[in-house]
Amino acid sequence: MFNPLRLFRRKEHIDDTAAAYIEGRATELEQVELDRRAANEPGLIEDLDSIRNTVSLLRSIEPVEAPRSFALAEAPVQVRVKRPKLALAPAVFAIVAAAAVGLLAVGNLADVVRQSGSDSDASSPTAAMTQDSAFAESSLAPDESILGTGPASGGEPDSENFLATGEGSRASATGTPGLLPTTVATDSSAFETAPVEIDPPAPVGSDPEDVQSLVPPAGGSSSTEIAPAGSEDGSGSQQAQELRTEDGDMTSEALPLPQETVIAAIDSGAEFGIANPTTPSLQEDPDGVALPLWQLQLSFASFAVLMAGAWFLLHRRLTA
Amino acid sequence: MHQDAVFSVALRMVRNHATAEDLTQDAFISAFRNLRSYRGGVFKAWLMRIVRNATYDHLRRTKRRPETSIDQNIVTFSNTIESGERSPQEWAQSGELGEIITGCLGNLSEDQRMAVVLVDIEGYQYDEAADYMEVSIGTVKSRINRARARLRDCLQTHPEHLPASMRLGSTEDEEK
Repeated sequence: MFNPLRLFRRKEHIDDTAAAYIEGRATELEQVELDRRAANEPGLIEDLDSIRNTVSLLRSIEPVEAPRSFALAEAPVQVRVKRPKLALAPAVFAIVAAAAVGLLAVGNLADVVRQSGSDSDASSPTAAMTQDSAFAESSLAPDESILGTGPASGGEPDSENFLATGEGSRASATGTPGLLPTTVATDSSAFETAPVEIDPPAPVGSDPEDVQSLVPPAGGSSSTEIAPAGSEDGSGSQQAQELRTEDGDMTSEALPLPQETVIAAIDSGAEFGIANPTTPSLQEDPDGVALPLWQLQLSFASFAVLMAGAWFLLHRRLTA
Repeated sequence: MHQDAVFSVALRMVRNHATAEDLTQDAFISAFRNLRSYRGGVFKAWLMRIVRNATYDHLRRTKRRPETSIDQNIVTFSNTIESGERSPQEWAQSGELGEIITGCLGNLSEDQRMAVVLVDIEGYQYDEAADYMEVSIGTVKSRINRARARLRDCLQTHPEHLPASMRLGSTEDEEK
């Protein structure tokens, strides 16, 4: 089978033989091979002879001596060596990685400080509210809840009963559950239902007219005794009042709260009686963008790892 | 110690004394500055690689911007070319032949010229030349064979300057 490699190797062998003849070091075997080849190729020997004479001419060229000493003096080697462009890159990467780690640590520390600060402040804004809630609950009739009658409702706020607790009584339906115990009027005529500019989702079946005013009445009720919180007579501590209707039935208590507190609580949109609206679960950004801290930390950590890896690779390459 | 060898190679390659001196000096400076990259082995081979690269770079630069001055006396012949002393005429002829050889060397490619300079002019072995050129021995042989053939053809265009033994058909004429 024809193998072109054999042809290439044979040609190489012939060239080696010819080179040996040209250089005058051909062995007997090589000489025989050349003679055999020359028999098939006329002019081969003359060709090789001419090349051999050329090589002899080249070898007769006299060697050249250096015209002077090339020993290095101080001046030629004092030329400032250019620093490679990437020589400072490892240091830059190391600094950036260290800065990223530092920011990460600062971020963690700030988060810890903020958490501890928020925990300490968690109780004060809602103290009044929770206290009020406690008072509200404690003064309710056993069969009534702050949401109105209906223990049988299974704990779910009963919208209908929510609006009617006892005869002639009205429950506040601000549509902001979990917010506050609100004032409950035993007699609608006893209160001036001043319009409140809120936009809550009204409960089912609610009547706008049923929305109780959150503003303490200008005048006292003829049929109730209410001691507003923080009243001047210092009876603010007696916030749990037993309110009795004209019929003498117990109703949901009225907890006259300061107007500012109530409105602020409503505006914050917290759930009715559940959460403290002033305790955000996320870091709120004024622009409305919530940035979970753990994502920031992960980004910084990834960046630091990348910078450190790049520094290591560049350092190895430049010092290799 | 290696100055002569380095300078000789540089001179044969660039065919200019001033340029050869500059390249030789640059090669030694470069060797000094990059001494930390020397991994052992034959120091001369490492040095020859440096000067080889320097000459290649110079030739490529001058190829784009050719220089007009070329020394014509870089080749002088020893007395071995012909037995006995030579007459002034023979010396003159040898000078002219040196110019022809210098010109014919310039017609070769850089790789072929380097192979011929190292093996045929400087007298290095094939394995040494392969080490200096950082190629295989087969490659060196191939380049040398082609270079020799081209030099022979170039010299044959000036038969009047060639020694009698080199002229084509000279033996036939003598026989006749």
